[in-house]
Amino acid sequence: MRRLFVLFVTLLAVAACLPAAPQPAAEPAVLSTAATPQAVMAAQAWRQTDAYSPLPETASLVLVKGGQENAGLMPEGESIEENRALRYIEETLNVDIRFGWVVPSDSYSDKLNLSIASGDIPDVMIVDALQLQQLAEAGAIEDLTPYVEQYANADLLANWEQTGGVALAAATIDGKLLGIPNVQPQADAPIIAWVRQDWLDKLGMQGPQTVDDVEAIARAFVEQDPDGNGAADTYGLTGTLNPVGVPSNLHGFDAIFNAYGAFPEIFYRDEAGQIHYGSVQPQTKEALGRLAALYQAGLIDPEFATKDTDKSNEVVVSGRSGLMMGPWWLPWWPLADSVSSDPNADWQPYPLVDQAGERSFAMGGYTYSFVVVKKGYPHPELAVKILNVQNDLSYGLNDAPQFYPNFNEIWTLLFPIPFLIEQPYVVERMGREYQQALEGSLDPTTFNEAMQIEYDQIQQDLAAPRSNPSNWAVRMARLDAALLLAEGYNEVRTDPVAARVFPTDPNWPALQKLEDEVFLQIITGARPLDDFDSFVEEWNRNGGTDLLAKMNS
Amino acid sequence: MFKGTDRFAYWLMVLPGLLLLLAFTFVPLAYSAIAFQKFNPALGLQGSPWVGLDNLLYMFGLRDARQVLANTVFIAAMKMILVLFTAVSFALLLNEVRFLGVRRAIQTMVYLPHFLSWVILAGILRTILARDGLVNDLLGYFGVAPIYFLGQPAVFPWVIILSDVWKEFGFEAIVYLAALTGIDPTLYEVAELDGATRLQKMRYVSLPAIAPVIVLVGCLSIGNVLNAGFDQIFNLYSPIVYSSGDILDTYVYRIGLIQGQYSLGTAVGLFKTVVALGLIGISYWAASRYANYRIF
Amino acid sequence: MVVSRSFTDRMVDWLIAVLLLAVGVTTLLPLFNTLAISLSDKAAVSGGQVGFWPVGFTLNSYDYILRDEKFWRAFGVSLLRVGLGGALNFGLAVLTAFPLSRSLRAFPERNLLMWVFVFGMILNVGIVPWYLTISSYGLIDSLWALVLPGAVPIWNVVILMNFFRSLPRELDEAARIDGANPWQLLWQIYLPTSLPALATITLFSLVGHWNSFFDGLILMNNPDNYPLQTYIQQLVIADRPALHGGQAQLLALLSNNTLNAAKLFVAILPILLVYPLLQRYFVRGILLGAVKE
Repeated sequence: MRRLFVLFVTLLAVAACLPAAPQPAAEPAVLSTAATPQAVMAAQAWRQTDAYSPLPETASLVLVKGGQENAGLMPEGESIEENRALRYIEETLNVDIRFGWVVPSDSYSDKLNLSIASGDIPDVMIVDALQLQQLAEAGAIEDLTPYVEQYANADLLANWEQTGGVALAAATIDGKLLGIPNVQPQADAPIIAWVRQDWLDKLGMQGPQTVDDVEAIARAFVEQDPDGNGAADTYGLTGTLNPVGVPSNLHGFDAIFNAYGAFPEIFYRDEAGQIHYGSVQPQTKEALGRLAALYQAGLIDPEFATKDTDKSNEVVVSGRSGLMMGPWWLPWWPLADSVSSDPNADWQPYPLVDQAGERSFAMGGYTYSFVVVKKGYPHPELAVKILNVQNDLSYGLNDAPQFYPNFNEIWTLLFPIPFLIEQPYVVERMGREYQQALEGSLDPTTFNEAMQIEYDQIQQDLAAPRSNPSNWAVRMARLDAALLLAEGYNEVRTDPVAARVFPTDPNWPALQKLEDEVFLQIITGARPLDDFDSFVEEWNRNGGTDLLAKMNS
Repeated sequence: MFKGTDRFAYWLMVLPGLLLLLAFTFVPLAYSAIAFQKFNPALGLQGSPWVGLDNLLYMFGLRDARQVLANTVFIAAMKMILVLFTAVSFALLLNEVRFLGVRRAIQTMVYLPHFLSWVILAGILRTILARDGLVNDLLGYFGVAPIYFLGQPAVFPWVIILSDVWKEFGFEAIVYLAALTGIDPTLYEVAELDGATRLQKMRYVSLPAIAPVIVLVGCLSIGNVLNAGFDQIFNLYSPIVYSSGDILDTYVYRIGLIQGQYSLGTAVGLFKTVVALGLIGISYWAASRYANYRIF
Repeated sequence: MVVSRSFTDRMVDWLIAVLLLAVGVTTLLPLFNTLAISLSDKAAVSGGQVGFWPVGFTLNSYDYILRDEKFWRAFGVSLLRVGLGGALNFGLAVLTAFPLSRSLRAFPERNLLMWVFVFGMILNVGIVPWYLTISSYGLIDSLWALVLPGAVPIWNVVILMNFFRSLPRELDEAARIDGANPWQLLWQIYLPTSLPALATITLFSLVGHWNSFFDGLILMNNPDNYPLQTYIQQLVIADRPALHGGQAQLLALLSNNTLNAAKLFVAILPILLVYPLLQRYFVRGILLGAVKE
């Protein structure tokens, strides 16, 4: 479930297509007519290539989807089932897309499991590694090897290539490519501390570098009434019931762990080639001890352990906390909401350093979800073709129209298969280019349309900071946060070999439950820190040792 | 007088219910066979490989399963004991209230939570048990530091148990009140003539009158020691309190349906079914033996 | 002979009455708190100032609910389910209980069938087989999934059967002499004489249907098909906020806290409306079913 999270938040790490804001209201009329005139279509040669060729006869395609909770963000007159991006894809490929069900994002995996259990499998779906394995064992999904070879466009192939073959290997079972792997080398970004600069300024403090700084700021935010309302109603650091989690754990404590050289939930390979599990290392104990001390001192939201992301976002948006951990795209969600409700909320990103003064961050795997096609579906190539067109819509390639001013916030709703096959480090590259354009060393007219639109938004916010939350969000994420990432950092990732083993291990769910429970209880003081040692023993005994042995064999 | 056509009519009447029972109770029983398979939903019941007792053996070795069983029995037993105790005390006291209007008013108030769903009550509990909620505010007046009711493993089971008492004590008191109103008033009068105090009357007249009912309720409860209240816990728990608050039903739901370990989930469920059947058998036997109770 | 009661005795009477009244009021305090929150200004609520009386009285939350299409759709699903489920429960309870209440001579298979039903009642197969069964019938996302699996209310059948049996034998002997067949006997004699018991079991099943949320959560894929309790469960318990930052104007007026409280209260209202009936008949039902000597 945690993984799925990434899919729905707005983290599109590409040159996103944001037409100039303020934008006239969407025209629902567009839906009733063809998006692209016949004459124009005839002139577009790419439409005749394998990657885009329309089916000779309209085929129907049944999909399923998460994201229902954000449907309110769609433009007037459009919906998940009916929107211009979807219509464009349907027309381009001559397919009729329907949704078997649409549920809130964090129910998606549950509902899909239920659907698979009931034998009511959609034609094409996004699955995780365990589901891929199960469906493969059952022979319930198509071998996509020939379709990916023939139909994937050059961009997708290149992005898979960038992972050194890891992505495609992860989706290959018994020599067959049974799923189309995602690639998100960057979007599962490092966790950064985001702090309200207006509160810091008021209290005469500097932004944080170290965990000590975080503690000092949290203490000041709790004790010195940073919002000046005369009530002791502000929290220090926020948190959620997922204290650790890659990738993109909003309100997660990952950055604090990383600052201690601890990389929980990561199966990393040491210099000697051995795979270890970060959660059971002594550094993790140290970090837990620190977090427990912070909690004990009242510097973390006292009820964090029973709050999920939405609940904790509310803490931030309602102005009760000015210190939150999260990835570079946090300005889009939820910080833009915070700025909407309080234009003084000047959130700024600060990456933490470890004891050696270095930036080292836990990263997600390159690949953790897969698009699969139900066995017997007559047009398996459609899955590949849809991903091609979605990529074009994202990048503004192949004349793909740019429909939406808030594309970054709603792309998961627009796309029938909300799935990313990404270029690495595109965020840093774009951040640098925007910076160079601002300095005058790069001509902004050379930007593609999508980047030009963002560049305008950045300039508007620089001229009048936080007057428009959308402009602010683009500037903060694309420029300020991206440039911080561009300064470089050490990446700690789960080894690809390990990534193929643990999700399908029968003991893994129980081990994870044990870990979640113990970490939360240690941080909140329900257990003494030294219970960590018995946790490690228990983890080893209940399948952890075997798991590592399997990985290292 | 008893015609064959009558019998046919009776069968016709029973048939719809019987068919539905077959379809929704006995067919699922057949599906329980996946507890002995490595069930893969895409392969179905016919296609999935059989593994014998592997899932059950694996289950007995699981630390989680043992812990969950202990939590279930503890929570369910404490609920029964405390609800019973509270209901009996309440009924005995209410029996002493002579003003009929007041009596009715009190009953009206304490029955209400019974009719509300756990979704609603959990929504209310989450509000009043929050750090800045009603209960912590009240405790604050007495100088008690805020308690993290839903996030402390040591506290959580008691939140569950006591909120169940809140919901059910009034309603369970009904059976005791009925028994108390059945007492012959002359018994009290005779006791008074003998100089019995109010407490003595309670002890020697009222309590013996409801003792059989207490025995009956106690016997019937045996069948429920594996039901710690799915709806209630499902709507109040979170990972931090799994160690003390996770019960069989929530566990089966999570591993069986949500994590997709269908066979393991079914095995745990089947274990519960079998044990519960035995317990219910015992409870009915005990109820008929000690309280002369027949279900029909 | 009446013993005159002393002053202290009467004081104790009062003491007990006051004590129990206090218990009764305490039982309801959480509900008052919810009601007060739903009627309060959002700032007062987030400041934790609301106790049992609204602070900064406002009807904003209720105003919003009145126009909230999703809430009313869920409300409608619940009404449908209560109606359909209640009717099914009623019909099946009557049809099943009547033959089982006949004498062994009239219906020799009676005891065997009774055991089958009771076994069905206490047999609680796990949730996985239950789900697989219902989905194998293709009921997912259909209203029937919420009413068919529990369509035979076996406990109600037992109560009703016991009630039928407690009716005097002369009733049906007279009818028999008039040549009535079992259907007429049930329809013309037993149903009219059993109205209180029927009211009781009907209320049992109506309240049960209104209050259940879990089947809706699991068996409905499309959230548009959620009954009200499931819808509220998703909002309040699973923390799926109804409001988000995009709705700035609304957020200025109300918060998820006040809105959720109001939704909880609206969901309680139907129960409160029929509460006088509930109290009367439930008490009877409990006594019919539980303490049968």
